[in-house]
Amino acid sequence: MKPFLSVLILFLMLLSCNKRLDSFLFNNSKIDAYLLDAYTGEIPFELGAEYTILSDQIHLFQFNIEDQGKTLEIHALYVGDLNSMDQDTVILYCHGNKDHLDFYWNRQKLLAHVGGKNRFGVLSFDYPGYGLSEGTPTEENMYAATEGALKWLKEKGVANDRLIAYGFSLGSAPATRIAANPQEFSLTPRILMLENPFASSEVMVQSSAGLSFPGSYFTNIRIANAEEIKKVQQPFLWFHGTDDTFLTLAAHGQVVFDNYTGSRGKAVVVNGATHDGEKGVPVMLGFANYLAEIEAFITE
Amino acid sequence: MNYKKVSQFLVGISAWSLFISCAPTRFYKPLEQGEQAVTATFGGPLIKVPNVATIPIPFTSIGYGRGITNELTVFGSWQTTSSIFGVMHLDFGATHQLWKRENMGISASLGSHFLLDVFEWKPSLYPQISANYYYSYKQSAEKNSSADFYVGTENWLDLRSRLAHEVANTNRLLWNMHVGHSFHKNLWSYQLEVKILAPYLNNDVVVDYVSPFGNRGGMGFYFGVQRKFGKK
Repeated sequence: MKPFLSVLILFLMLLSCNKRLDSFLFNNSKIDAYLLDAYTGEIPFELGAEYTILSDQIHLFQFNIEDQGKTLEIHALYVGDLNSMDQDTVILYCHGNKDHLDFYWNRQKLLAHVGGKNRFGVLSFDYPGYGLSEGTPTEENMYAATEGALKWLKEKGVANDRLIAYGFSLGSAPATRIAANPQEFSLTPRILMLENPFASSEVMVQSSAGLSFPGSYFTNIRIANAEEIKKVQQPFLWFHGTDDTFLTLAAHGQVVFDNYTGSRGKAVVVNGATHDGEKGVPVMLGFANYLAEIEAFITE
Repeated sequence: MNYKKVSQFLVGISAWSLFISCAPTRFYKPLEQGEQAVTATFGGPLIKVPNVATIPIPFTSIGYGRGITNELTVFGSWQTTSSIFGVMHLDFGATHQLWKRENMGISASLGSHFLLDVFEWKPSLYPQISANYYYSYKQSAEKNSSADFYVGTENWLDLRSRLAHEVANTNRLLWNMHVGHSFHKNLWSYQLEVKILAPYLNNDVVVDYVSPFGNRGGMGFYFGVQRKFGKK
């Protein structure tokens, strides 16, 4: 009987195709060029003319990263004055799992108005496989691209005490990672801000499933923000929409916030806000209130 | 913006539906003593695929059953769809006849689902208990053909008290109900079943499930084929 069972198990294992859902967590799309204000594709929300950024404050550039023996060119976008970066405070904006920098351009413009127009520099970048960035997205090369962005900031004179990490949705993973693991990255942010963050890929699987099975049944991606946040000692500002059905407040954001044990944590729960879009956190909170919350947390 | 795109929604459907609603009822009526049967099933919960249609998720399984006595049938099956994800998923159990009259009966099944992935070798065991009432009738005067109508309920027990990150598991019992019809001709049976899946659970998470209860639970459609073998 034993040999029969062994053969049966082996047979069933061999039949496994091992398809993983990892790639489905990255909702990237490629483009031919960054169009920013001229972009006509889907965007999360509209911004008025008062949020216009002058062209001399917009800087598209590239840096290289290494990914499994290959060099990938990563595209990034800095909003601010390149000549004063050794004195400025910079917000590193890690975007969500969808599209590319054009899609998030209005979010970056909005952040460039925290405390007034261009008071803080704002850097965003496309993960590998997003926009014009080369490669295929993985969790590891997403972190590698974040490190590439931090290296660029460091070369420009940005220091730890003038760096703020802001992660939205999927971007909560690299933002939390750099805040939690200072030894692994070129810079460590002074403040961590997360909007509608993942708790972990396992929570995503379990909350979708209604059963307790391990995340490894479907994905090799970890995105363990709920564990990483335990190592974060910096001040932490958390935004989450009550109507976020993609990463629910209770299953994801609240778990992350509850696991935070650092020096200063603040939760901003936004009634009626969804994951993103026209009912996303910045819109439902009101742009002015959203910017004021961020400014107050930075300057407190 | 609709974030329920294929990418995210695949995660959900592959998760929830794959395990709690992956197949129709195995044996609502015990086989006769010595009788054997192989089964193949297809179907799953109804979901809305954006810009495509509303479809049942095409989960598949193959199984085997054997009548130990006229009142007791043991069975096992392999959830073939799970293997695509590198997860060995087997279910096994026994169906016992509790009550029987000439054309009807009540049965109960006790079983379990066992899962093991090939990536981190994490096992899971989900005991399952179900009960069915069936009514048999002659569908036509044709010889060797008959049909059954059945209705029943199934319950899954989640043994883990804690979810990821030590969050308390508040859904330890998952409850479904179903109604089905089976047509038999000679040694072949063809089964159609509709399930109401966990109608008390919020389904507004990632996936666009179709449910008669709105944002609660789901509804599944299933098709099964069974081939019996003669008694030994």
